[in-house]
Amino acid sequence: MPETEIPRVTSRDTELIARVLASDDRHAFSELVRQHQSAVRGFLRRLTGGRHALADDLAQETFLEAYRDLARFRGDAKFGAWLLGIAYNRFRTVRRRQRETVEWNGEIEANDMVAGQETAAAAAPAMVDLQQDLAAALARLSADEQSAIHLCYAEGLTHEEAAGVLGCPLGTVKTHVLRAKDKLRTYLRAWAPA
Amino acid sequence: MNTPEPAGRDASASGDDQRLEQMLPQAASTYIDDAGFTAQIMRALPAPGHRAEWRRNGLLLGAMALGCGLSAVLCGSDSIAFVATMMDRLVAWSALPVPGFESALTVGVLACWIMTMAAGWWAWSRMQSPR
Repeated sequence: MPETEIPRVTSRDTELIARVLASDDRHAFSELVRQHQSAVRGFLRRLTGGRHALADDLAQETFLEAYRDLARFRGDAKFGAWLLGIAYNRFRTVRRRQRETVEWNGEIEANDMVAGQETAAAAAPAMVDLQQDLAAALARLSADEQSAIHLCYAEGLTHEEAAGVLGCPLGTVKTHVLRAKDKLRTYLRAWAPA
Repeated sequence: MNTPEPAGRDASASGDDQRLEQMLPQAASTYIDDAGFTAQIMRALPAPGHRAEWRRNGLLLGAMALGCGLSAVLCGSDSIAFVATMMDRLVAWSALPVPGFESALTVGVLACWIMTMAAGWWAWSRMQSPR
């Protein structure tokens, strides 16, 4: 399980949410933010093509909206998935306003590359090259395909949960995942075993 | 979606899938240090003010209750009779021989009554969820 995979709705999350709703406990809300900020910011950085400043602005709006509408969280899905749904809607709003398709343009931020390499510090050089190629291949996917792959594989959501986050039918998510994997197989053909 | 794959692809595709499923979680996500992000969010939160909202909603409910109480006292519990009585009085007071004036006044008064009830219901529902 990757470090940033969204945990199931924990009793800790439930307790924190209850404290925020009952008495506007700011400390409890800060704990929620601290637990989920990496997943939300990472998701938005993927969607915005590595634009850290824009992604963090959208992440801030996400958490502020979550604070205002926390009473609407019914607890029937992962709290992290609910946050990602808000984040995705924020991203779509910005994209509509800018009247452009914000796709990963391949210009991966140096920070991301350094961080990725740090986590694989003990890996062989060949493995680092593979991860770089994989990151570049992911960058060539459409925003919808990247979102589906990120939610299902990086965050560990089921297809149904990913469909709820993205606000699209289950079949659409499955199509995005299938197409993304087909493209990745093509892009990474050089790494296939002989 | 049921997209049949060519038979020959099954074995190699499943192997590729396994490799992708092993690599994707690592490549698709990296932990991001907080680095003051949470503090920035907490500074941006609105000032604690849900009590003011309770007061506002309470005032709205109280005004609605007072209005309903007055209507009940003036014309008994029959709100339709209250409306008809008020209509009669308004028509009597009106000096404008405008065609349809009485109908328009009826609609307007009913609309005000409905909006008052709706506002009271909204305030009550908001009080059930403090924020």
